Amino acid sequence: MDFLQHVLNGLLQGFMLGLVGLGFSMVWGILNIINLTHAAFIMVAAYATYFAWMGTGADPFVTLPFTMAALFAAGYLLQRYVINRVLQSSILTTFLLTFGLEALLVNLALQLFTADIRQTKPPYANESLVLGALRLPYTQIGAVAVALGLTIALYAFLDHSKTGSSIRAVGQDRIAARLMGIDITRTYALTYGIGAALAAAAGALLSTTNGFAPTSFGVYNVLAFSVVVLGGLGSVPGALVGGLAFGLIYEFASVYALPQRDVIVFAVLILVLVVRPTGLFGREWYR
Amino acid sequence: MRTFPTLGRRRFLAALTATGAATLLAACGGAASPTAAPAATVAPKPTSAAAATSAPAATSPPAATSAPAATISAPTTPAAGATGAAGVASPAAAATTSPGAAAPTPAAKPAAGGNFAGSILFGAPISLTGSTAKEGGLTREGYDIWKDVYNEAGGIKVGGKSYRIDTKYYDDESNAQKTATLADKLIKEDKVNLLLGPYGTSGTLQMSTVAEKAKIPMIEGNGAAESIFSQGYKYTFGVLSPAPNYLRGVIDMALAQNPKPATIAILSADDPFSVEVADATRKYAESKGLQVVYYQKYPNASTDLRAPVTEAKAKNPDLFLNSGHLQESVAIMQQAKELGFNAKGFAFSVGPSIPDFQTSLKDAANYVFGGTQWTEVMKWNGDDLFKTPENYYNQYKAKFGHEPSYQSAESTACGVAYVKAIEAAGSFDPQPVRDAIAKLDFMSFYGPIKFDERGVNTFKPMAVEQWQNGKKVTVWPPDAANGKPIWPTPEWGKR
Amino acid sequence: MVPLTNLLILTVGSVLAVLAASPRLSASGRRATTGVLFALMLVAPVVSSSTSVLFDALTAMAIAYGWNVIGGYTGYAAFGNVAYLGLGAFVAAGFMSRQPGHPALPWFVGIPLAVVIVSAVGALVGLAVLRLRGHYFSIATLGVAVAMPELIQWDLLFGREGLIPNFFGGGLPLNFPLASDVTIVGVELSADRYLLYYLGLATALIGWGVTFMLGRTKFGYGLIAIRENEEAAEVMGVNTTVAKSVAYALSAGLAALGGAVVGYRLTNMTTEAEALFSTANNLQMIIICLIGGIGTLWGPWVGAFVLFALQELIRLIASGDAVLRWQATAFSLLIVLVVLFLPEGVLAYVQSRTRAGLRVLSGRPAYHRV
Repeated sequence: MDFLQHVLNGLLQGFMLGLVGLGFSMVWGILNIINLTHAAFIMVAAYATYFAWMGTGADPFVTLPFTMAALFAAGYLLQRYVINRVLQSSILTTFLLTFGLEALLVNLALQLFTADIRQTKPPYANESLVLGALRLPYTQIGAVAVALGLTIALYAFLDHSKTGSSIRAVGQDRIAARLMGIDITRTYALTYGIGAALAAAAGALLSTTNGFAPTSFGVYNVLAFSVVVLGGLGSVPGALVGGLAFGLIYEFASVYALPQRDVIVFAVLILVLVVRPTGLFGREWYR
Repeated sequence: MRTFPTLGRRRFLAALTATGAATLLAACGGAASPTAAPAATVAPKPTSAAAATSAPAATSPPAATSAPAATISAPTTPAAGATGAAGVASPAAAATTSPGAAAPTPAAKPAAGGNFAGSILFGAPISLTGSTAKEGGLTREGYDIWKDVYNEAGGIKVGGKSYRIDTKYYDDESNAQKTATLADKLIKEDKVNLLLGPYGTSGTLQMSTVAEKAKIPMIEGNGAAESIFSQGYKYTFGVLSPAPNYLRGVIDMALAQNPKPATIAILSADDPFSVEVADATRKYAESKGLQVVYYQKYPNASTDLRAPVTEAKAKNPDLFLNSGHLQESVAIMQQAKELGFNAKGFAFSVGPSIPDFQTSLKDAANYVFGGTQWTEVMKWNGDDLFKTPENYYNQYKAKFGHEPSYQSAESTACGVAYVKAIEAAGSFDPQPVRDAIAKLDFMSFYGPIKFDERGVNTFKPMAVEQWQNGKKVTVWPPDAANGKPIWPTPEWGKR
Repeated sequence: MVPLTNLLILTVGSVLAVLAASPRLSASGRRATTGVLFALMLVAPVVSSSTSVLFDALTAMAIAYGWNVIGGYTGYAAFGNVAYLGLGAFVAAGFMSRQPGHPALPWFVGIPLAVVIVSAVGALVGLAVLRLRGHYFSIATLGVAVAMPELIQWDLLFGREGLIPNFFGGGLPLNFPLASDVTIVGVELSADRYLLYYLGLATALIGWGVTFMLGRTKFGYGLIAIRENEEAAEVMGVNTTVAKSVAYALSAGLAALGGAVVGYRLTNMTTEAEALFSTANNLQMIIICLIGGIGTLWGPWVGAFVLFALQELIRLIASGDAVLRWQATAFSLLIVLVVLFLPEGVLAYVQSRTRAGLRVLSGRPAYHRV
């Protein structure tokens, strides 16, 4: 039974990580930047959800679309007017810029919201569905639904819509896409906006599972990075599968070697990379 | 080959202006008097360059531009040869401190300094940003209330004269390496007279070395690890009870309850302080006949602890103990609830005593025990301006609008100990003050303060608190308690 | 005023370093400027009020020079050098500690020994991770950084009953001995002000020297060839596997050197997140190179001095109590502005203004794309 509970823990956490990785993967794959601002978007969405709930009692699942829309707009503008300025420089330049933006947002949040620990607490927060000896927290079940829904929606959007096709085209070959009349700047901003919106979904859900402060979310950059590498860059379902795989590895490393958990997790990660550099689901369709 | 983007002069200037404006804005943002802080620091007078070496003269105010207090000359204390300029009274410290600008109460404005013969500058690097920003802020409030309350009452008496308390803080960004560098900066550049501790074990550990090298005493209230005091240092004093005592009270308390616990699970963060607490607790539990059924360390600052909580649940312990930090304690309770982990008692070394524990956990905080250095219901009758814990609690709440945590109280206690030591020494030179600190033995609102030969306050007991119906109740030791522990903790479904 | 001396030294040092890299000056002019700069650094502790900030700048510079070897010259964006920084400090502490069970070696034996050992560890790790490229290499090295502090605490290896019992303190702090003051011809020289400062300066100069040699040896040209086109370099007869591993080992060695010296000043080693293995330390070396200019001889120097000068400046301006808390916000805004307006670093900006070509003393401007 413990074993089953561990598997469940790993999978449920895996869906959440998949959701965190999804937007990160999009931005990395299409814009070719390691977007460290991702964690800050998660944080902003967590606070937005929290304050909406505090102020009006609105359920986090109800405010989720609005939070996503707001963050989409913010991400779009940020890419269009700030990040786009250095997009053609080295990867380290964009790395540093997104790091700086992340630090800026976190520090501003510290000033505005203080370091007090908060949590969105609808009545079902930290309650679980009981199945015999197994426990499934409701918010994590919700996360599974949201993660699955968004993955499918994103997949369909990229595959079947005109805008989606242009995003993929830009990812594959920027120059050719421009020659075909695609507005690169707009496509980049759109992609970045979608990435921010996906981060917002994760942030809204995370605000209900754990107590958080502005500095709580930095770790999700590393987690997103690992999830994407594991699942394979350039694949929408890959992010989800990467999340699940990572969740399981993480859970069982915690069971058998908790103090050395990260050694095990990263040893597996490096092994996967050396054996199969494109990750579990990696394809080349982004570039 | 790609060439560099040509940056027009205009663009560069725009950037520079923006940068300058931003820093200035940041500098002026929260200041009560926007001109005071930058003006005092940007327009320095080179005449005081002599102070770089061991110039004993503080009689002529070095920076006359800065603050009104600078016009009052302090009596010269001869600089102790060994420590260079340390020990010089610094009437012009206001040039860098501008204490009035930040003090919320008007009474502490430099105007009141007219009655003071000079000032004593206390320095501390504190984590105002970064991972321990919350605790660092509480530490700072603890120092601030000490400063303001004592200044209003006339400051510190040295040799029949009153001296104002000034403080100088730097933000160490929760980075222990910066704590060390900034402590050095405080000593050598800001010429602080005495040091107050930073927040946290790691920072205190690094700062203790700086204090030792400079032979300037540091009284700290936020680093309880034995490792700080096992180095044989002579200038570091901790007012708080040491690590091994953190969870001892919980075990004593639990063993006095019915049904008596037989098994115990311990989960600890892997930083040195938490490990010390956990190891000491494990030994103590075993010596009392408890069976330790689960003992595990996790990487510091983990917040996904579902795996060890599931493991602990499988061992079905009567008592569950965690030695860690606030965020972890909150995460563990949430995940215990999610996973339906029921123990007769949950206890934490750090967490329950901080109000955030309850505000984020709400009902799930009920029945949880926490070891605590200090609570407002303790019955100390102190020989200081705060007198009782209750009185401290009221004054603090009136000043800051929220209740004090033990981090605030122990920080204030550092200041109180300094006042006692300085008045006993009749001087605020580092060496006599250090010797006076070592001999301290008095009762404060925070409890008895007396140091053993390592600098640890082993004479102060710790208490155990429990959250009952959204309120903190001190339940142990019985003679300090204002309520009885609720035992056993009801199962999650029946709360 | 006294607190300004460090700001002044850092500013003058940055200007001199920019001049020393300037293609406008003649070769002898550059050499002379370099000489003046080094002389300034030699006399700095005599005039500086507190050498701790300068010490931090110099050691950070040495560590950044280390990163520059692999990240700048070889073009492999390593995000895990902090692992070697921390390991260097711990190994040196293990050798130098006077606690029971430690050999209590003096610093001039303990620190070099630590550097050699960590370089060897770096070479071994490099053989595995250098098979990867681009982002994948980055994440693998980041993994090394995350795993290293946990390895040091592994009870099976270094615990109370481990393979090398308590070499790293077994989870508890490990101490360097306190550096003692030196008395030379009756003058007492404070260890902090002189010994540790000059150790810091020496690490920076070693970093500079290694980079200087890269600009004029076949090995260095080999690394640049790998950066520009690894396959082509292989065809041209560069043994890329060996060259990359040596570069990575050098990089690890310099990080270990800086880490060990930093550790010696701090004296207490702990693996806590806010200590040596911190993310802040990991990013700092990259930020320094980016500010100055990646893959150049003087980039890390300029970057380190500019960074620490800015921090000092902000501390000075933000010394009013109420504005203290805005310091970190102002600093992150500064990073964003520097990246937006000086994306190729200070050196490249100054040189592009001189319109005299791009050749730096080392001859290698930062136009590569990782």
